[in-house]
Amino acid sequence: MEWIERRGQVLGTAALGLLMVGGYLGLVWAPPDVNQHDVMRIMYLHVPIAWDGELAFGVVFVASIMYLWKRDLKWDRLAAAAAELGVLFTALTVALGSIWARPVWGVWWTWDPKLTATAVLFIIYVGYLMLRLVAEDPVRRARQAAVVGIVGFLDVPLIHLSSQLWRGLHQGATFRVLQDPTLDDRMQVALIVNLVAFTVLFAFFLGQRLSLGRLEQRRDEILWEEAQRV
Amino acid sequence: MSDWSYVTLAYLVAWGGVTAYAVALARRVIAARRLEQRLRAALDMEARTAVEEPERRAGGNSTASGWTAEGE
Repeated sequence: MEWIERRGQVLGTAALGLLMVGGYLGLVWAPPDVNQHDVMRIMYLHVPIAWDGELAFGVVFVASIMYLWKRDLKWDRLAAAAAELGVLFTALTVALGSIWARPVWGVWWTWDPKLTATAVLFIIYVGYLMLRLVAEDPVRRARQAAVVGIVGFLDVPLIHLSSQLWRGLHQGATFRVLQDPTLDDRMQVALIVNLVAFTVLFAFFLGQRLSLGRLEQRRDEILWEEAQRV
Repeated sequence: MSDWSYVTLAYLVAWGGVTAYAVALARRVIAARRLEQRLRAALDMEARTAVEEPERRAGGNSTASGWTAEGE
């Protein structure tokens, strides 16, 4: 965790460079889709951003388990930092999906199982952040948030399974482990570069958000010391 | 709206959202760092005052300061 905080400059520069390359590949280099034409280029953002959101909630899930096991507040700080990023990236996922859906499906929003499960995931973690705001005792807050963080993550596999379990408009997975992707080579390269770029951006944001959490904890400790002396 | 209008809108939303978050986060980190430094400085000053004040008071009543107690 400390590593990711200390490497802020390297991660920030790498993320910026990779995002610029990814932007070029997605907007210029990759060919238009045979059915969706240029609108498909939105997928070079939508998919990596959705991945970032789920990665963030995966971090919340693991950090919450670690907190309940070790009772060390550093895990709670990690969960809080990742949850904030998860909410940001999930909100962007829904917004980008909506912009893509309008020309392709003809609607901005539909109650498709995958979209609904994603909206539920967003609401769960907005609730998680609100819970953190209202609870004052840090230990109690960490324990309650950890429970919500773990239970909320159960929605993530549901999002992935929803397009297989129920009939909806959303397409299934394009990439599958140990299977040939159903994408043109150049589209595949553009998507992979953007996935890497957004993963590095996630790492950069997580490091900066962890620094903020550490500073806030130190501030609280100082105020606590002061209150004890008075 | 043309295909490229939707693409432009999507890129604006994504980059705008990411940039806004980056700026807000940077401001929060800077503000928290400044506040932490100020609090620590205030706490140090208070601790120093707490040590110096009894010394000053003790020094003020002592004959070693050159003052002479009444009646002596």
